[in-house]
Amino acid sequence: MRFGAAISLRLAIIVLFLLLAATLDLARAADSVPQTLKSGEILRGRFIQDRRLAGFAKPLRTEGTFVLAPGRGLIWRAVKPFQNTTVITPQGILGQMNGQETMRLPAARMPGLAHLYDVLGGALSGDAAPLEQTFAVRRSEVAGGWQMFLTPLHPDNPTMSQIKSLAVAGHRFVETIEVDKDGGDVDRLSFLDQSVSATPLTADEKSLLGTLNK
Amino acid sequence: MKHRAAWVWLAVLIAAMAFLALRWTSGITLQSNILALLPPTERDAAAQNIQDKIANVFSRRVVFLVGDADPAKAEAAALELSAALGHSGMISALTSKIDVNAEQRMAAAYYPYRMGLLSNADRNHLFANDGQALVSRTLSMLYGPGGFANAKLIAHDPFLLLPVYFLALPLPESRLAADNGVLSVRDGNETYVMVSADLAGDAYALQYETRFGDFLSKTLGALRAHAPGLNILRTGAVFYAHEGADESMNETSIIGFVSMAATLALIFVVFHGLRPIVLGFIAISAGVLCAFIGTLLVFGQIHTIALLFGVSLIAISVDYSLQYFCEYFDSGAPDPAARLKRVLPGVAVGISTTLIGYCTLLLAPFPGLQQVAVFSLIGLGASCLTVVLWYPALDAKRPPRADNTFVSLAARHWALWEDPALHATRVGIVVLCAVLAIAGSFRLRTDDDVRHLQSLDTDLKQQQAEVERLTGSSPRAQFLLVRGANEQALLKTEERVASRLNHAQDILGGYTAMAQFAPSIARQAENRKLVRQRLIAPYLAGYLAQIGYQGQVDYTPPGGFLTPAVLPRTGALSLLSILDVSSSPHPAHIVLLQNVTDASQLEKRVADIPGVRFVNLTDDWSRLFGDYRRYAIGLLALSALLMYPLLGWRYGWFGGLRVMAPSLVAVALAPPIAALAGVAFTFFNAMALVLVLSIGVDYSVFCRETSGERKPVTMLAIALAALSTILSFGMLAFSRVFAVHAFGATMLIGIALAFLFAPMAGDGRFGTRKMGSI
Repeated sequence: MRFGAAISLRLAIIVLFLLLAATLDLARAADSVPQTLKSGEILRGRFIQDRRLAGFAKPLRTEGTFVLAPGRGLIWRAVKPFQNTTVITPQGILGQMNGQETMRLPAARMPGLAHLYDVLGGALSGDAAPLEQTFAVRRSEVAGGWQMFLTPLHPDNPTMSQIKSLAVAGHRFVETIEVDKDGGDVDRLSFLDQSVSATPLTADEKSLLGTLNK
Repeated sequence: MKHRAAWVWLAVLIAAMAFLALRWTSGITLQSNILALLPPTERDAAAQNIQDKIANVFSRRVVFLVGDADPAKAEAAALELSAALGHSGMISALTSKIDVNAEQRMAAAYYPYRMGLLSNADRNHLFANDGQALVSRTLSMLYGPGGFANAKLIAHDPFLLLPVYFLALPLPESRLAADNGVLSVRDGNETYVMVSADLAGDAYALQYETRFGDFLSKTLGALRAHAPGLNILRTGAVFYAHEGADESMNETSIIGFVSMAATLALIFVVFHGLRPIVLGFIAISAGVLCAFIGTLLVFGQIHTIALLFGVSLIAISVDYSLQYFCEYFDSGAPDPAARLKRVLPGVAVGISTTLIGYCTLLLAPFPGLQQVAVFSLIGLGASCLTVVLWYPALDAKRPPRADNTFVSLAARHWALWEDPALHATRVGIVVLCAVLAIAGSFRLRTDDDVRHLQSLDTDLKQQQAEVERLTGSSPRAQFLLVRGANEQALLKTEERVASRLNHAQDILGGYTAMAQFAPSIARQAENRKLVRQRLIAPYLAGYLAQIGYQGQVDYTPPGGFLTPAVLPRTGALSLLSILDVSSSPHPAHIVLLQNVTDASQLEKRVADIPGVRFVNLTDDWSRLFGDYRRYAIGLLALSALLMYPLLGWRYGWFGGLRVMAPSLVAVALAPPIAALAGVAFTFFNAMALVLVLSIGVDYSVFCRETSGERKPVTMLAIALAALSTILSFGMLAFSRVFAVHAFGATMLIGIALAFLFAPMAGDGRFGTRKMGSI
């Protein structure tokens, strides 16, 4: 299952999923105060992504910023080593480079996307059942926060192809995500300088999130 | 001698009834597709074949959206519906579950040929010698959040050309999302799950429609009983056809019933007796029975519209009976044989001209019109035979009746045209008609749009609009037909077409062509060369060093090339079987066009590419209806020309013209006057005029054949005939089937005019005797 995965960019969805999960009371840790986004609130921050691929000399490192507007989508802006913007909304995925569209994938081309939104929607309303039907979830408390270890319950499901497990750690927000993929590949995402604000989206952000509706 | 003939006729009719009963049990094919009335359109049989095939594909598709506030319920109901459809045996293909393996099969089929497969954007960059653009594109994919690439992929496709090619394929895009293995869309609180299917039967065959309709109402009823919140939308030609057939069947029975009831009521009121009713009924039934069987034998099936027109024939066949019955009021005809003898010359000439009129319908290359003609010819002949053979025997003891108020009423119609005292009124009527016609001629417009010809149920239309809104796709029957010597030639032509269409975004939403899924071998060879010379050679080593890839690269093209035959036709690629319309030995593809905003401009832009033709099924059919509207007017002139020698032979050359004049006036005035009422002039109005001419000539012939004392009696018969015709065709004007409505409205006005002017054909001698009383 090499190319099917290529078509639907499932990992992008997992990123979105976990970012949104950051807003949930998933850890249920007594001493950590999980941040819940209220309607209209927006989470902003920086990210560092290290992608370790077998057969590569060094990890592929990307740095940038992100904007998460619950219910509307995610803007993922890489700054280093390239300027590159990815927008993920319930309508699909959009890629832009230097203002030029490099990719456009409507939701219809991505089996499983809507299901993941369901998982999130359920979780947002305090219903963890859809999540637990998708992953085996193991939670634990650690010093200064919580950890979660997710393994797909149905690894044959094309949505989960390439993913062996997810390890998520955080305190108020998700701070790291480690995605173990087939063949020993690992994606490690770190989130920094996260803040929640009720400041409305900028016109630029709005237009990016709305592009897929056109 | 006469007696024996009557008995033989009885035996024929009994045999006919037995035959009909037999056929009925084995099933009779009733057609309801208005397009089945059309002739094969082209001299080019191959093109026709292809168009039929495509029309067939479009007409067989049905789409359901099963909606519920609870997504699980919607999904369960959708799966139940598709299971029921699957078990019904009435569909040939069903899409409800997304086939996850189809994607894998597709990838496996393409994989060996990846080096020759380029997305348009990648190819353009390489053409412009901008390999760097591809390098940047690959890097951003590699580093991006959706990084699906791994060492294995880089080794076999370092620049991710195949995934990019896949992403650029014009797979059907819609608002539907692939969710949980089904296609669904959320709208407000509702979640809709799509179930689509291809019918195994002909959407326009009445039996199939009925069976499918019954099955569906049962299945949907059960689903709704189970989950009352379900909202099930559906669209497909079969539903319109079913609705249309239901409608015209209902209308046929209502119009048939009202026509017969009104006709019989008229006879009862005028004749104060049941005998003419019984005799009239026998003549009518014999006519319809024979017509039905004759049409069935000739065509193997009956179109509902032919049936509708055919049943209206009742009103015409009764005309001849009326001539006979009205002789009751003439003391000069004391017994049936004498009555028959008196009316026979008029009836014979009348029938001859009417048959000439119907025969010209036979000349129309429309299977449907030929059906109407055959139905009418046989029905009319059988009714007439019944009158001639049976009336004398069945009507033996009927004494003549005199003194009837209706007879004196009829006498006034003669007076209108013959009494010198009424000259001013006559002029007034003529002027009024002329003014109406002139006023109407300004509003006269033609309408050949095929979409107007079949009534569309408003509820179904709403459902279709809703389905199109929810799925974000609206199927249009617009495409390019590509023909060539062989498959590779087709693909090359399509690549030429595609290069034009890529620059036609101003008038085109998108297109889907086989060459996008399987480029021509020449194109693949060229792509491989581009990739080797402009991407691999200059950039590969630097790029791999940049990303730090240390493994081997195995990127050599195979010996062969990708051809359409290699591709599986399942899942997303199932649309390839729509694109390939070859019918051996004629290779042909279609290029589907989405959202064409300017069809004529598009046609122009591809006009110079040999083997390519823009096809717009709706427009083609509309154009055809236009052609045949003009054709029908030709038929009208032809039938007038054919009638004239007969009338001229009997009444002299000038007399013949006089007999034809009232009908010709009616034919000329009916369309503009109907236009005043907003009736557009269509092919069906033109066909109605053919009938107005033949029926109108009957009236004039009866007027011409009568004289003196018999005049009012004849006129009464004509009045009753015209009234019954108007009653039945007047009903047709209220039909919701557009074609029938147009036909009926023209008949209504035309017959009224023909009746009004009929006495002009008479001998013009007024008041030689006091009429209608003794």
